[in-house]
Amino acid sequence: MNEISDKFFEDLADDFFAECDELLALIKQRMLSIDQLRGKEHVPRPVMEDLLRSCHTLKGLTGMVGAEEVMRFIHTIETYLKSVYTGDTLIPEKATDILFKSVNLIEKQVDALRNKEAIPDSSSMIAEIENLNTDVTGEKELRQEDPHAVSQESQWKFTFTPSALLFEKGININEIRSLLQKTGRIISSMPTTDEGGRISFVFLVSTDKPEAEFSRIMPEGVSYEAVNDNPLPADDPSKMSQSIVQKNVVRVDLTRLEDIMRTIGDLVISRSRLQDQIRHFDQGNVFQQVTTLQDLNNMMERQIRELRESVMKLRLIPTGEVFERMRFVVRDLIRESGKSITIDFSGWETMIDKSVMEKISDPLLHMVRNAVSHGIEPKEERIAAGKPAEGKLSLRSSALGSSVFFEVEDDGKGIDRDRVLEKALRLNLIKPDDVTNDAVILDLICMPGFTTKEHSDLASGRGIGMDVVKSAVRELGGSMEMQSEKGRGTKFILQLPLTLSIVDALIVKVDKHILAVPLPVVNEVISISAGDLVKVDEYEMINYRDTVIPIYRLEDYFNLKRRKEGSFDVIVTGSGRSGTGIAADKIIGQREIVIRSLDDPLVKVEGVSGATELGEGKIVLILDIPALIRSAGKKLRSVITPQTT
Amino acid sequence: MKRILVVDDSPTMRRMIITSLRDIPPAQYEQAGSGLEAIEKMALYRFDLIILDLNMPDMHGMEVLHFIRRHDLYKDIPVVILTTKGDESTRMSAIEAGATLFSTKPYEPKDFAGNIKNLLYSDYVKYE
Repeated sequence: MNEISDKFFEDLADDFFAECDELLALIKQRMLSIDQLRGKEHVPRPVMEDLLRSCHTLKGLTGMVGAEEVMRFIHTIETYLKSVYTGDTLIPEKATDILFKSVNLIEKQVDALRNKEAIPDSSSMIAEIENLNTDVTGEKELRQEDPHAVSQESQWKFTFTPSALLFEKGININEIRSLLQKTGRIISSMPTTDEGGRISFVFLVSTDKPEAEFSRIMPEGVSYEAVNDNPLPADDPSKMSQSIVQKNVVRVDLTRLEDIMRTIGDLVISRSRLQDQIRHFDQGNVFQQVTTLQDLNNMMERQIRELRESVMKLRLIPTGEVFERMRFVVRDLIRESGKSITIDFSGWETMIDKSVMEKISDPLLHMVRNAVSHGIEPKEERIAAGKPAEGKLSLRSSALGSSVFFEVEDDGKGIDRDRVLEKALRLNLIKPDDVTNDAVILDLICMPGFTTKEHSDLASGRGIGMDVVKSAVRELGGSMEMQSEKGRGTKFILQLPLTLSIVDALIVKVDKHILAVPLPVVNEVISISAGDLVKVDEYEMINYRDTVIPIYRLEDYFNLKRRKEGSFDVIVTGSGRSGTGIAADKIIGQREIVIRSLDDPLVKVEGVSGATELGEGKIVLILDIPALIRSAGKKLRSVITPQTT
Repeated sequence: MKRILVVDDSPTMRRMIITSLRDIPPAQYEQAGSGLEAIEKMALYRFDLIILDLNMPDMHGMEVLHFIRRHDLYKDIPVVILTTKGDESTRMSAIEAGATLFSTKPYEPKDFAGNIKNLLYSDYVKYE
């Protein structure tokens, strides 16, 4: 079965893939730590345990959705890992490489499951793993840590007796365990019962903290006593392990977050209603109530602001999460390139909106790829040029105000300006006497299909790439800069917004087209029929409240087919005499939209401020109502002003 | 209403198990992500059935099973071992330790639900 066709598990698909991703991320992390040992040192037991358990869980999950091939593949890996897993495991470098490739392949297989595509074949990989020598005892170095090493730590026995009452208060086994982990090292954990069958848990904890320090944080239900002169029991792998990975990460469905945001929007509206009420009250002599209401209002205002800020923060993730994933890919790239490169990531803690990060991680990876395959020279070339044999590549992130910066810097050969310019001249992209600073070079290399490289290589394809980077940056409303010096290296700086700009908008239909009108400019929406229109010269007006306002039809502005009959929806913007009506065929609804700027001169039209995407990948233009009225209404105003004043 | 404890370190797997039981008469489900958590849940509720994974981080499923069978208050609760590792020796040691039923993942949801239903609603016979 190549897809999760079983309807039974359809509801669970999201959960399934989210957990697969988490497990794969953990597996990769552990693989990276094994890689750093280069087959020479023993793999720490917690690393092996995490690796084995994650593989095992992944195997079980993929089996449950009927992905037998994936399950068999993971089973082979698990079998190998188990065969080499002893108290102090040694994984040879060759095996590490094969395991890396395998993890990549599993990831592809999971992706294929997700996209309901054919599952990539793993039979040759399976054969490679099965051929690995599992007898690694001969290569083992004797490096045993003394289990009876003298420590400054003292041992304590903690007893926790759970109850329904405590459980309700949030005092449960997981909570206690994490408190104890903060206190020291959990040596063992064991359930016991008293004569009445009442369950307790006994934890043996080794800590260097004084009693006063942990006595404060222990909640009710926990008692403790010192354990004296008892030697530390040596770790026995068959006993319960103390390495429990605590995840402080809550997975939140994005739609749920959006719901919260919508609720907050409602709350904002309620507050403004409340404010109106207060103003009303003010005219009477109910001073006391007014003061109370005002206090309430101030409080609500503050709360709403806090709520909004905290929800926005929920969307932020540390860039380190993506660096972690990149490290894995970059390692492979460097290996494939055969070059000697160290890569340095910094700014792991920089927070950025998840959706911005998702959109920029591929472009970033592409720049890293470019640096590895084109930027940094092979060893011999570097030595000949008097540079250190090992190339350096850095990826940094930092935040300043409401922007996040990414820098990709290498100490390679730099961009060959002469070749770029020569090619650009040949393609007629520039004139011989044009300015040729870094910005111009950057523009040139970001042109679709522009390349000075004659052959493509494995890591980065032919020419495509920088234009994709540029368009991703532009789509996010960011900017890009480049500094490059021949022989010294290249540095790209991306400036991106911390979050995407999101506004509420009315979605309207005109002829066959869908357009978006940002809600803040909308004063009112009215429905009129063709008969309500009053003609003044060639312009149309309607009676609105106590005045007359001009109506502007979007179909005229965009030269679309004009409707003659029936009713239409009019968006009134501005108020009183300065009001203007914008007529559309129909208002379809109200949506939260992400504004993307348009700076392609071909699409840049006065009255259009940007574009957005509504589900199904459909692009919708966002109207800039004030600009639209300005550009279209100049003549209109001059005609109607004398009539309405 | 019957109360069932589902023990597995994978939250998705727990949901899968509960979902696969949706056609049996409604039951109340409690979940535990580790052996210790499972035992804590047993201190808080009386269960009519426990579905237990073997390979778990802090306490192996077999140890949980031993604990259950050793204590008078819990020793009669039917325990269904549901594990990915389905070799004969694991099966034998689980049965010897007092597992009521030994199932392996992946399983056929319908068959699994049928077994659970039988265990809950008929005088079950210990599987040999």
